[in-house]
Amino acid sequence: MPKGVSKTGIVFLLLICVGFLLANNILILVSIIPFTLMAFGYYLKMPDGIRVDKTVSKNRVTVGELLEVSVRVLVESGFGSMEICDIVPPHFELVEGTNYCAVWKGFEPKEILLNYTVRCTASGTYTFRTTGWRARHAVGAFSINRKYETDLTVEVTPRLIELKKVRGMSTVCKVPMPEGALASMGMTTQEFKELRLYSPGDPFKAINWKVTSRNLVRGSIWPVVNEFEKEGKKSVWIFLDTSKIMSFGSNIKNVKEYSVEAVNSLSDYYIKHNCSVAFHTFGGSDVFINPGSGRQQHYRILRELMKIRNFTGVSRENSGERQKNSKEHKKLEEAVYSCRNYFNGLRPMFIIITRFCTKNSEEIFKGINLMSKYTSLRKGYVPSIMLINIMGYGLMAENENEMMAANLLEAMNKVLSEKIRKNCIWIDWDPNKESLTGALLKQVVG
Amino acid sequence: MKVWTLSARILLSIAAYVLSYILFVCSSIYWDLVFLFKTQSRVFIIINIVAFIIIGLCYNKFEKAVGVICMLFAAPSVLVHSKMLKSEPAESVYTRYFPLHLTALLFLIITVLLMAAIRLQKLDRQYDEMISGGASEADVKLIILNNIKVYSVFLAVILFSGFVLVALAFAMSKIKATRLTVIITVTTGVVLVLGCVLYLYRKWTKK
Repeated sequence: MPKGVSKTGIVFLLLICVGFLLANNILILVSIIPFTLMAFGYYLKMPDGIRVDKTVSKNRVTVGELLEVSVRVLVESGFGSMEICDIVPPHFELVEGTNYCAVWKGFEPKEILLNYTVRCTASGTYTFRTTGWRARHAVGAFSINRKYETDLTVEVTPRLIELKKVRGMSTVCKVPMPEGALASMGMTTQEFKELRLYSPGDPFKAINWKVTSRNLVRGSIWPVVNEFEKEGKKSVWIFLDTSKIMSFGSNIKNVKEYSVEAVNSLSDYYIKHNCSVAFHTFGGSDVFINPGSGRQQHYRILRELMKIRNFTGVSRENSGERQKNSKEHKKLEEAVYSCRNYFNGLRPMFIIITRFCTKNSEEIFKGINLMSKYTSLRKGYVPSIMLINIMGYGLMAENENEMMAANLLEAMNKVLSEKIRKNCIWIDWDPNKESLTGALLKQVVG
Repeated sequence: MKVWTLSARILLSIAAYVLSYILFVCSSIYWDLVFLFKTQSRVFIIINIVAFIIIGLCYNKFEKAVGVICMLFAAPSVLVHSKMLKSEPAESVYTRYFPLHLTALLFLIITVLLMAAIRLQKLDRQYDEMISGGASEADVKLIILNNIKVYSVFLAVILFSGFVLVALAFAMSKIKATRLTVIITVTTGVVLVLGCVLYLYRKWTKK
């Protein structure tokens, strides 16, 4: 029984009891009011018999793309006013239309259409599960809340880098590529490796006749061949920071989301350029994807990226568990060290995606130092290490003063990172001002 | 929309206040106060100032404050018609009261006016909620107007049945009946009312 009805019933009982006790005809007469209200309340039904049919324009969209949602509500019986609200998941921004409406339902069945467009602002898998409604009684002061649930899901994938749009020689993209490409199998390169004894199957042109003749004098009749380095896939290692410092920004604009976008874009870019890409997280979650190439590898990385949000600052774990977990979190240096076996015989390129600040400066410095050992160090060249620093302070700034403070903090970070900048390709990316493509072109091309 | 509903709320509350004040004027408490403060105008000023201060303090929910004050004003006139109180010896006190049927009608009208004012206040709140939720203004206006229409029908039903009952009671009081007939009529009435209440209660709880 609704609360309003029980209240009315109590008022009625009170009036009639007092009326009988005092033998007061007026009170007995007035008690017909709550009594009639109860009768009206029962015989005049609230809107009911509701059927909901919900559709979305796409089941897979990229961040920033628009998604059209259509909700058809059919109210078959009842009488009164209704409020319908289709609940939009967090990280979605209402762009057009409305997900809420209020209607009057007469005695005839009524069909209500809700059409609206939302923009997806963060990657992940979302469910457009709930459509709620509130039906109010036309006379009584009570209402009922009901909801319809469905398992409609939408997969939001991170954005990709838009390098195809760059035209003209002056702006040809020079996103750094890995230098080393050495492997034990594959096409022969021009790079000399060693001399070895001939084995059946070796081409005759590989025989080094001068060395063979010298050996002949020494008594060895077996020919000697030149061995060259074999060409393998160039290797790229992406390290993503998933620590709490990445959970900076608002619900819609945050560093974490931009970092996911950067990983997705760069992995797609390098895979398209025939590189072998590996992905490792540090600081928060411990996700590791073995080196691999091809579209399948990109999907593997993408799948893990979609789950990343659950691991970082917005985790629902209690503080005790969080403390325990923070002890187990791998630092960048540890993450690189744990993968050292993969770097043998290769000169991989390392990409670190983080938000540089005082808290992680030491960690980044140590990590880059360790990476330098595994990558080539030619004189006059910086090692194949690229650090993408997502400048997050600007994301939280709402007015000019806050923007100035954000710029000041970023400038301080710049001073702090001066030492590290010399050892890697440092890219400052301010998502508020430019795209990742813009940042790469500006800072890598120079 | 909000402007005329607010005006209607104020008018309904004033009407209820005036009627209940009339009932109060015809009560012994009022004349006791007159005796205390010497003149009627002085009592009028004091009572109204106190009432307006209370209403002013409950500015946001002035209908409810008016409701409470109206009930306090009307209570002496209504309660004096109780058979239990009439049996008391101070017979002279009741000489200034309205007759039973007129008091019943006035009290019913006051209650209906107050209910209408409170309903309008609730609809105003509902209007604000819906508009801030993002509903279109035309839809919300339609909802409010339809609600007012349905509630008016409900109030009309109450008033009509109230008048019928008062008329019946007036007619019945003229009929000379035996003690047995009276007992049978009263018992049937009580059983009918209780039956209806139980029926409705069961229906509601089953729902």
